[in-house]
Amino acid sequence: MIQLKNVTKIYKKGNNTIQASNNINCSIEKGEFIAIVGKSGSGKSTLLNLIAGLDQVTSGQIIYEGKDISTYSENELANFRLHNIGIIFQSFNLIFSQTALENVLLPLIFSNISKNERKQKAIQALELVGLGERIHHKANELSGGEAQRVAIARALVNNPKILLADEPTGNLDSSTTEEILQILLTLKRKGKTIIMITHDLEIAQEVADRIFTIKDGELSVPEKLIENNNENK
Amino acid sequence: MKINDLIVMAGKNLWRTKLRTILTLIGVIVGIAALIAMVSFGAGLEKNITEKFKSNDLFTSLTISNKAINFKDGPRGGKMHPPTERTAANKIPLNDSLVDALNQRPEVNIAYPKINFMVKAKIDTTETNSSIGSLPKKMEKFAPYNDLFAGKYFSSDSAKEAIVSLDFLRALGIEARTKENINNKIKLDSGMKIALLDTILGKDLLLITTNLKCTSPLDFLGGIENAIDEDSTTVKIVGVTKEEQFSGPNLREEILLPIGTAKALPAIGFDRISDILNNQKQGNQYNAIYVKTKSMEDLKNLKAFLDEEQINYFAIDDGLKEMKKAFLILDSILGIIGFISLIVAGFGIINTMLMSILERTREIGILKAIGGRNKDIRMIFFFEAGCIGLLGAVGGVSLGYGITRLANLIVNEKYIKNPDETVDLFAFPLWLLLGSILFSILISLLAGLYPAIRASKIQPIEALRQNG
Repeated sequence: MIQLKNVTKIYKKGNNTIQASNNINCSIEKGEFIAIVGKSGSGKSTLLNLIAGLDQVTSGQIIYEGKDISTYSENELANFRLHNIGIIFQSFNLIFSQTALENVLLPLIFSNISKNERKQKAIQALELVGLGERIHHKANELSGGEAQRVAIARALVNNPKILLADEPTGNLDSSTTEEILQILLTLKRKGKTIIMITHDLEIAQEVADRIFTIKDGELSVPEKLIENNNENK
Repeated sequence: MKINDLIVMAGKNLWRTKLRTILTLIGVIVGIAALIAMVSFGAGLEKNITEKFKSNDLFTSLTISNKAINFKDGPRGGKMHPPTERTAANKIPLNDSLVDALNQRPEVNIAYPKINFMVKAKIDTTETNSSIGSLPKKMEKFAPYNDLFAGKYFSSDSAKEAIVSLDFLRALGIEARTKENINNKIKLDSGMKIALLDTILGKDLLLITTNLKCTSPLDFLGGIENAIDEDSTTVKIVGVTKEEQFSGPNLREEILLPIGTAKALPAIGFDRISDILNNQKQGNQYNAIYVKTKSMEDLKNLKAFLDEEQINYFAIDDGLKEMKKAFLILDSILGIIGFISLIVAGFGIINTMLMSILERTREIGILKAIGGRNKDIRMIFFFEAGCIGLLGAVGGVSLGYGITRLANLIVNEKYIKNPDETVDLFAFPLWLLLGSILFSILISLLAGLYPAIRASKIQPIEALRQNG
């Protein structure tokens, strides 16, 4: 479904260059739950942004369903995100002046579907994440867990094939983390392909089909994890 | 994105920063109000003048004169004659034969001679000096005499009747009012007394005229009292003319008499004095002849005929083109002043939108991350600017209208003596109202263009890194 071929991303900061992704190669199949584990500054968020088309590769290819999205224009990338990708951020990235429902409606507004259909879909998405009763609450009135559920509902509402989750539990307590992970697993069972970034190997092991580690922009698959995975699944 | 979504989104986003939005709106409202007030004043002036001319049939009228008083750059109606002919006298004398000949012409509705002179006029015990004009009975069909302020037109060309102006009555210390405004005591000058119009009608008006006993200027050498004679005639007031700011040929005269009655009065006409002083006997019976044509096209044809016959004339429509140019210049100057106010408001919009972009950079990143295209982001900000323009336009038009109404009220209260004859100094043609709204939206969209483009170019990844 997604193939990364020799993906390299180099940032320039003044006279310094930072290699955030270094010749990354991997392939992700439809319906897989992938976890990318790494420490802060390891390049995991950069990799997620590249897959989401939010950032451009310096070299290499990102092939999605046979098409190289690294050659897409800004508008093509926006359409790609709109119809294929749902992104969940660590800091939720909700518009706090809007209600839960209005936040979830936003991607549908860009999809040009009818008002009634939009509302129906947004409410369904919010009910799916267990927030059916809080749809008219402003985002800044919600708890961290609730806000993240709104973010998941927003990522889901356009029925994307891939969910990209950047540290989705990073700002949450343990019980809320568990709730969010269960939602993600439910979505995985419904056939969504999920790529989750986390610094917590335990979380990754709990939910992911495959785990990659990333260090200094280089992606690898630890032998130990493969064995564990094979035993557990 | 759908237009209604953009409008709803723009409304919500603007409402988030109420104070800033309101301050920016005030800028646009003041700009539009200034534009509206300025242009409506120019339009009002033009409307008042041209409508008054039209209502008095001045665009189908001309005055044949012995020596043309010229409007701009030549006699006989302006440009048709070279300046060297400016003082050339008519080859045909202005007499009853010419009046009759003009009345026979197919273009002419009516032609009649100008007869005017000064009189001492007296109602009851008060008297004043006034000017007399004369009209034929046939003129009752034509504006402005077909619509008198009060009373009726003369019953015949020789009736002992008079139509007077409000100014004439004022000169006698009478402020004539309709029943509706009889109790309106504001604007009354000291020493004036209010009288119901109906009580003026039917009153006797004594006219004391001065006539020449002499036939030569040499007769004056024996003393003025030997050269002139006084006569008195009584006529009945049958009508009162409307107050005219822009008068027609006869309206400057404060008392109008039937033409036959005026001719029969022994009086020194201005024309006869001029004849004596100039000592130029060209066979002129009259100093001027008024002609009213059937249409503007007929006026053109008649002018061609008069040019051919080398007869001097003055027609107001020649001045109209010059007047229109002057109005265009005036409107442009007033419009530019209003336009500058709106440009200043436009900069206010740019400032507001740029501030908004700075504050909402992260939000722009979020919108792009969830599938918003550059075009969508551009349109969101574009619509916000457009909404400011539309709301500002509606507010500005309302404020401008309010200001002009207030100014009009003040002018009428302070300067217009008769509440029955109030003026409207401002005009609000549809093009001005719609144009102002469209112009405001256009300026706002132009002002929103740069911020919108700037917002759309924000890279999502950079925007999402911002705190907020």
